[in-house]
Amino acid sequence: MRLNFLTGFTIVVGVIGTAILSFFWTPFDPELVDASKPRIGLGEQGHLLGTDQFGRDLFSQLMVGSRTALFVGVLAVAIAVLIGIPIGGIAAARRGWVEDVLMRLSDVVYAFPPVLLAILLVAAARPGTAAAMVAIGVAYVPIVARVTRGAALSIYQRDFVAAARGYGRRGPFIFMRHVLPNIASVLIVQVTVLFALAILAEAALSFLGIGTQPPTASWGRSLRDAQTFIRLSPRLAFWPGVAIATTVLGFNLLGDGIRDALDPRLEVGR
Amino acid sequence: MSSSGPASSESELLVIRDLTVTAGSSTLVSGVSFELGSGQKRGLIGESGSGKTLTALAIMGLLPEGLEATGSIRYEGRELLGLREKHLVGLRGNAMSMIFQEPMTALNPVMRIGRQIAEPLRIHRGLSTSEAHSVVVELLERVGIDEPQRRLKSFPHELSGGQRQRVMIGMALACGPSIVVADEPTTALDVTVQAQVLDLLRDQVVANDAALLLITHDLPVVSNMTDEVVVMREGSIVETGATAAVFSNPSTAYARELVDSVPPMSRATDVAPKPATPLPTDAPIITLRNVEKLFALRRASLFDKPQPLRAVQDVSFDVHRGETFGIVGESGSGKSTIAKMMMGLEWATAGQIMIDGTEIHKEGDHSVLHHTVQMVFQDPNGSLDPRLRVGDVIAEPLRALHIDGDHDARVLELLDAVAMSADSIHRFPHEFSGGQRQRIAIARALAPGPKIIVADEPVSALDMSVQMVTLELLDQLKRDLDLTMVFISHDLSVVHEICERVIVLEHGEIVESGPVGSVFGSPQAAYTQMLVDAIPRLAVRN
Repeated sequence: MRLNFLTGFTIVVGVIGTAILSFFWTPFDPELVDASKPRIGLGEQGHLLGTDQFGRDLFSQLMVGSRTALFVGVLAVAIAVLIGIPIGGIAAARRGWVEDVLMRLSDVVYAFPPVLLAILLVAAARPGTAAAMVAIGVAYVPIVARVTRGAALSIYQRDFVAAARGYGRRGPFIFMRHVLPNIASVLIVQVTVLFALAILAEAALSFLGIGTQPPTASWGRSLRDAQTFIRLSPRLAFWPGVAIATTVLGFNLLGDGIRDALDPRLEVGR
Repeated sequence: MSSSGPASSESELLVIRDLTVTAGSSTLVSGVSFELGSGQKRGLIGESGSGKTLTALAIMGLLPEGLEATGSIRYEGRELLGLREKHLVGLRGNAMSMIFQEPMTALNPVMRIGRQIAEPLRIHRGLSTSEAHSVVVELLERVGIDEPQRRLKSFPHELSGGQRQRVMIGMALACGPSIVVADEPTTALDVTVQAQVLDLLRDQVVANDAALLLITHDLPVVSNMTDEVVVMREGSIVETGATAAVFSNPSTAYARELVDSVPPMSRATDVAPKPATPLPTDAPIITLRNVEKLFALRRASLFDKPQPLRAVQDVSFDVHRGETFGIVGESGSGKSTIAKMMMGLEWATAGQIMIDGTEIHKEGDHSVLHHTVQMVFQDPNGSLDPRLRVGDVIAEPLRALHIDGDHDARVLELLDAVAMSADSIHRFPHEFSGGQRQRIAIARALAPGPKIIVADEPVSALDMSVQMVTLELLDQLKRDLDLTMVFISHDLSVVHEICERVIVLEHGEIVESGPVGSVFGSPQAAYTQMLVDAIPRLAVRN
């Protein structure tokens, strides 16, 4: 459906726009603690979504939080793609024991849930956005590797690859020139979905207290801070939740839309 | 029932009037009208894109979404177009059934064939599982499946291509339909299997007193199987008439062109024996000595020993400069593996391969080999990278092999050599027809200025009239550029046309070799004889 794509695209552009805007302008300083007005309600004293228990403006916090979400998403996905595509590509190109070793190794990584991997990593290093990002990225490497391998395998069977070998092209060149462009559509869809999952994972890690550390704003941390007051001020948990859900939905819809747009089966046959 | 039908067509089982199929604003089939009488056998022929399959799908009410049919299709006087799906379901597989081209995809891969054949019986005849069982066994016996009791429990992938198509025929006939629509039922099969399956189809259709609508691009097949024929082109009917009359004396230029494109060996009349060219005395440009290729199959489970598959064994032959050398065999005979070994895409596990005086080894520099041997593949859809423009497709070998000179000029020269216009360079492969794409692939193969072209089934994926043109082009280029050509094909009549000498492969071994005229004219090996006998011949009435 075109509607999927348009909705997803609008949401994603909105989130990116908000993140960029937050560098230059927010209604209030998101880190400004004002003990005189804790947990005030919607729209009071100019606070669009009210304030949290420290009197910080919730809307400004959410705006800045979108930066963290996107930052983690971009870098985690970059890690996953930069490691996963070569692994999947080499496995598909070489077959045999190389493929077995690479894919079984990635199965081992795949067996660890991202959160568990992050806890391990944080135990070894320090909690923070960077650790969360690396953990999420590494956890998604097997997913990218598998998708790449599967799609590349079918391309490697095609005669144009045999033709390229027949005029002397070698492995990496064939992969970059002939295989990658032909599997790009599959990978783009996978990447948008992973992006949504990464944002969700960052929120989860921050909620557990092993992701983004104060005072940096993060949707997951806002949610964690709101937990104590969930009965007194449920809206403190509600709005970060809405931000996370909308953004994840946006990226998923965008991924669906791109997949539909690139799916040759949807073209009307001659 | 026939009271609602026009008086003129009361005796006809199926009457199609002015059938038009559109997709949005484009018309794919326009104004098609013909009838199918009870027990009649009618062929529907035409090249790809002629609308013959769409016509069949419209009859079955199976047009893909987005396509719309107008006009009239009457079955026993009852209008089928616009009929609700639930009424069509009652007819499909019951009164009318269809046999598809590729039985591997037409059969459900996760359903045992017994249950699959029983399905139409259970739906339309209301038979219970046990009642259906005995009918299915009998059906399988009738379509020539050995040990039907055991085969009931097989999955489609456990059967050979020919057996799968037999199962499809059994399924199509299960409910005793009055019309069988067969869409290219044997195109995906080897020639010897094709002959058996066609015999079976004809016998079964006759035994069931059903009418047959046979859709194919293969004229000899149609001439043997049908009484009446409809020739289609670009969505419209060009000619109709008795099959023998149309083929012996076509009244339109297009039908004449189709008939003329049938290679002489596929004609009923005896082929003038092809004189054997004297064997050249110079040193051969290609020499294979006792070549063997084993493939290590993936083991079925972790603890199994990997079973080697012997794709090629003890193959020896010489090809001389300027020759067109044929390699013939059915699928799995090892002919493509031999091609790949000559190209340096696979390596022999034993024996010796010499190309232009140099032995080829897995190790070492292969740039001389790549300069010397180039390949033309079977499927021009698969052999051209869809993401590259034609100019880049042809220039790639020049860049890869660091060939000096003006690449742009060379690309234009090559396009000209294969009779393609210069503006093709900016377009993508999918913008061209199959024949044009194959010419682009030929241009690419010629780019490094090879001495040898290995052509692996270069015309099998093309329409018959395009086959002719492409073969003539290959032959012309071979003479102009002083090339040696290894021509691999399952199609004996094509090999007979263009090759001088030939080897016949069965299960990776050479069973016969020699000049084309004598190998096909008086085959010594039983297998060659079987291949020659299985060629469908164009039956013409004089």
